[in-house]
Amino acid sequence: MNRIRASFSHLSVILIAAVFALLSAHTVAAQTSPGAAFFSYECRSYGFDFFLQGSFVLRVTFTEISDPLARALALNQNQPIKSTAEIGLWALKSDELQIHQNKDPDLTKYVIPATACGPLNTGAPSAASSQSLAFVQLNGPGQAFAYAQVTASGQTLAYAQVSGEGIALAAAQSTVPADGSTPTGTSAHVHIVQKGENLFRIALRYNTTVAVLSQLNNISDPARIYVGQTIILPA
Amino acid sequence: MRNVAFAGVQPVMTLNRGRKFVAFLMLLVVLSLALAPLAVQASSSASATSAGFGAAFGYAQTIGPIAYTQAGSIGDAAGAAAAITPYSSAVSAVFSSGPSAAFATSIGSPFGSNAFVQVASFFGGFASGVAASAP
Repeated sequence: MNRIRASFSHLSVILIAAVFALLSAHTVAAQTSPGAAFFSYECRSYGFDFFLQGSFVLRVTFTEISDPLARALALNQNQPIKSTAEIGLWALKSDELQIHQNKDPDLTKYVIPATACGPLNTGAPSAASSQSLAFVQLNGPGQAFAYAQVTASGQTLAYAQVSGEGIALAAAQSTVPADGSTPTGTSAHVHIVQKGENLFRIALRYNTTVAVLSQLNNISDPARIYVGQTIILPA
Repeated sequence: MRNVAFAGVQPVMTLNRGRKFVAFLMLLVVLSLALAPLAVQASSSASATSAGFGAAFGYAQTIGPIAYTQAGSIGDAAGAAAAITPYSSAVSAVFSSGPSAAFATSIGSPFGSNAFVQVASFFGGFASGVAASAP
């Protein structure tokens, strides 16, 4: 009888501990992402489908995520991916995605790892370049001032001011390859394989197929590519 | 463009050849920026021109996905500014002639944008302004 009571007592302790652990986990999850009560997502072969209280609200492909995420990581600055009037999807500099209702972002934000549906190419945008121009001309008494700047993170500023008889122009521009691809000396384009990428994702990203890439690059086993490998892309 | 603001006073204005050229130049700058490919991460441009008794300024800036512009002019002058990011754009342009002044500002960001124009004209002066932002 005592043995039964002792077993019962142990079982109670274990049950209470388990319930407590479950509650704790739930509490932590609720604290880190309050929007989980509103939003959910499903992984698809092309990317994510997001739902707001069970109703479909937003579809985003891996290709659409890739560049903003790379930019967010490179610039250490959150970047928008897609938005509607009601909700917004952002790439966070912490390598995560955040979806929220625009009317109350803080209360409804739902954060998930960017790799929740598989690895993504998060290579930093490469070969960024910048141009700036400032020009002033005075045709008589007066003052003119022009200033143009591109910062290291790609932000731009242009200011022109004139009084009297003259003209002032300022322009600043920063560019980055739109698709992250690296131009070569010829008309062909190549892609450098990043960590976590496979040939299927690369093919998806450039709207081609694994077969085409395999043939172009003489790859006998599409499952075996390595980080840093140069993949020639179809023209 | 979701937000467009335009204001003008005095329906008739006369532009001499020099001003027509400057206006055309400004239009080209603004259009070239507006039609820039998505490969452009960010761009800002500002221009100001004045003739005789006038002053003007243009200010454009991009900060991450946010585009912001301001343009102002007083007297015989014109100012324009444009800012473009892959996610938003903003354009402001003003023109004033004679005893008048104009000011325009606009901001574009992925989740909201706004545009504002203010003009004033006295005794035969002319002032107009346009501001637009997207999305």
